[in-house]
Amino acid sequence: MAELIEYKCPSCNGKLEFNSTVQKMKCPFCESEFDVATLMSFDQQLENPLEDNMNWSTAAGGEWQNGEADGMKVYKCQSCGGEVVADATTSATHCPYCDNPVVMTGNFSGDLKPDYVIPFKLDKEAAKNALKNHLNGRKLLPKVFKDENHIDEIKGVYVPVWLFDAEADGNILYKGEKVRTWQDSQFRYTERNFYSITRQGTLDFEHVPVDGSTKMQDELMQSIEPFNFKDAVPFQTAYLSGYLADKYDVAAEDSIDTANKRIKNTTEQAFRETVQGYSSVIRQSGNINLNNAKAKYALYPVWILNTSWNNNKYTFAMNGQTGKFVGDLPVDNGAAMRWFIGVSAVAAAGCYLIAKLLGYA
Amino acid sequence: MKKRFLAAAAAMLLTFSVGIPTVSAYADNGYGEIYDIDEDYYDSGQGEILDSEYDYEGYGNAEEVTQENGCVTYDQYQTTARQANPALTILICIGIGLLIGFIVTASMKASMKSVRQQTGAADYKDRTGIKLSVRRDDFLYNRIEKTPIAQPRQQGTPPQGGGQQPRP
Repeated sequence: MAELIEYKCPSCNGKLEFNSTVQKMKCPFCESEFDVATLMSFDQQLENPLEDNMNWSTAAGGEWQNGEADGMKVYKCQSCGGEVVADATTSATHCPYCDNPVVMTGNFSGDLKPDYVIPFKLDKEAAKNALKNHLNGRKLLPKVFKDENHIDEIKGVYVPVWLFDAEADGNILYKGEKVRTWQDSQFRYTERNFYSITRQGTLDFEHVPVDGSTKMQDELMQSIEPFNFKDAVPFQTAYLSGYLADKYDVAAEDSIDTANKRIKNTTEQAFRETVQGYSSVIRQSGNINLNNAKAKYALYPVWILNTSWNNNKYTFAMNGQTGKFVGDLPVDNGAAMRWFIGVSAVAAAGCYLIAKLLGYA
Repeated sequence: MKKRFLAAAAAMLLTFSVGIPTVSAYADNGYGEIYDIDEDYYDSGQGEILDSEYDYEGYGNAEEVTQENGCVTYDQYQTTARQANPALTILICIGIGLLIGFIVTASMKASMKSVRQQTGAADYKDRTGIKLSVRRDDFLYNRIEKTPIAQPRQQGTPPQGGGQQPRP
């Protein structure tokens, strides 16, 4: 049975016809003309969209050796249910996430052994100074936050993260438009040239971290990025001495979506940046496949501070490697109102003064 | 950050302040007619004749001509432009003040938030960057649009607005 093939106009979606005079496909509606070979290639790419292929090997983590986890204890938080790991000498009295008292439940065993750990580079003093800098100059901050007593609550925690490595293989089709204008004595001309733009290539990603703990807010952990993996070393329990360590409670398989989104966004952005010289560019179709995708399990160093104000809990975090400090601060609504009224009054008065000087008042 | 917002506030202040008289100054109709009258007057070759000596065809002077036509003279126009409306000016100044106050306070509140979700992984991409195996830009088609240019005004023809097509 004969198959009727129709080509649609890339410009107006109308049915194209072959024009024997110009030996090109021509749209009877918008009168655009297309080279046959180019059109077929474009049509084929549009009709065969490939799905993204983002499969990961999540065989991360290793097995504990005999006696390796002997010196480690597990602390169970009665409030948030988190299990915090520390060595036997650490006196953990409060959960680093919710600040509630924790109790020792037993020896640590089971679960996966981390592949890597980035040891703490910055100490508690650095975290205190970073907090002071974070609070300095904040006009809307309630004064209670500047109280020195809060600084002592900072705790060093190794947060479990899944590290994803992959080679993103992209194939993306864009439609670009170049605009040229000129004029004569009677008319202004605008010429719009449309192009089919194809980009294929690869972009490698290394150690994209995804938070493996539900107790640690994902946004908080992402806000203190980036971590530099060059300082990572194979995991040794000795690095936990004096610090707390959280056990992962989000499996690598459950973290894949987050990693995929981040890798896909950056890959698409990198491809888009290679399309230049056009007035406007629209993504038509495309797909991203991940090759050699694999995950590793690591512990990243974070200083955490919990405090509360007006019955709300506020958590701050500092990257224990780079010193980047983040945390949403509470707003003193009274101070905000005073600033609003003050600035408005000064601005209105200034405005009136200028109007008067110019003779309009 | 603070300097940037102060600069923006000052720029807005100046912009709105200059805009105040513009609204009231150009509220009068018939400005174009005055222009036409003056132009015809000079075109007639009597440019050196003073107001009192000019024949206004039954009118006492130029003010009467323009008032009869619902217009104002240039001198009247200048006076109107400088007339102040204190109540309106105060209201506008208060509005600008509130707007600036809101912008400054909102920016201060925004600076209190530093926790943000990461949507990309740019920090973890390979230093060598993207390796393209296909980089093709194929021309598809083109389209040319023609827009008539408004012709310059000739003597004796009515004025035309910018961007309008000439009448056939």
